[in-house]
Amino acid sequence: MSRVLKAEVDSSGKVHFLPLVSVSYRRPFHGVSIRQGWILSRESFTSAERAEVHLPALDERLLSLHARLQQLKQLEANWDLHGAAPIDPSVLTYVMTFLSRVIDRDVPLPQIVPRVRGTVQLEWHTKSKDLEVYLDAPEVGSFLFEDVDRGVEREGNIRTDLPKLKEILHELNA
Amino acid sequence: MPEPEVADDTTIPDDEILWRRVPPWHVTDDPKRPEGKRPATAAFDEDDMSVSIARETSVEKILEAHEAFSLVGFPASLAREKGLRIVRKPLAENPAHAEVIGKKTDSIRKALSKGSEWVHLNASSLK
Repeated sequence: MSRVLKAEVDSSGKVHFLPLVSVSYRRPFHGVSIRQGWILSRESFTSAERAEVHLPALDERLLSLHARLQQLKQLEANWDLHGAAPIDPSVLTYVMTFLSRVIDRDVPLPQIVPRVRGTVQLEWHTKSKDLEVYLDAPEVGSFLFEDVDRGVEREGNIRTDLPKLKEILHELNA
Repeated sequence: MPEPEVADDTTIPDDEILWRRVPPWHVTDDPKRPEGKRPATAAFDEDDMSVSIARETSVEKILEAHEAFSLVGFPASLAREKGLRIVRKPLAENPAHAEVIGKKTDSIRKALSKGSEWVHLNASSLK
């Protein structure tokens, strides 16, 4: 299964990746790497006016979160009617970068929730487990996990404790 | 010189229920809850967090001009157990207004979310 996305070359020769204009996405495939909506390496596209990029099935799942990120991008100051800050675009961009590191086929997708300080948190809630990841800035954040049935709580940093976080994500449906 | 810490208002009893408005963005899915929804911990993020003293107001008054919002309630004792202080801050439009003051760490926000019950869950959040 794959998804075809369109890209266009502008007058300066840069290739615009249309559906992901505001989303950071860095994963090499078909000889192409993409970051912040731009195709950085475009061996296949040097003379093309339009190009097609085939994303593998996993990427399709992450793309389903794109609409939510676009909604959060549109939030204006005071979106909670109590003085909330608009969401920092660099944090929204980082959400996809972060998820592409920790999500695979065995991990459910999170709910993406805005915070009044202009950052976001990712949430997974199951019948017996809660996991929240707080993304405060690109590469800065923490997580809090609770297994209600076993009475276990764990917390950590998204950079230094990434292996522990991945392990927790794989246990969510266990 | 730092401002002196505002004291907890002990005239607000521990069993007083404090209402907190929840914007639609902060209603999240949780299969553990009977309603299938929980107030996100992000709904308890502010150091000076606005609440209303339930006994002194009504759901209709608190949700006036906040039609899309939901409402949760938690006991004053829960905030105090977490080291937070409760202070009356009456407003012209809401005389029952108060603030729950103190830093809300991840675990404190989680406790407030977990210890809150829905008073009004906006129908659009159930879709």
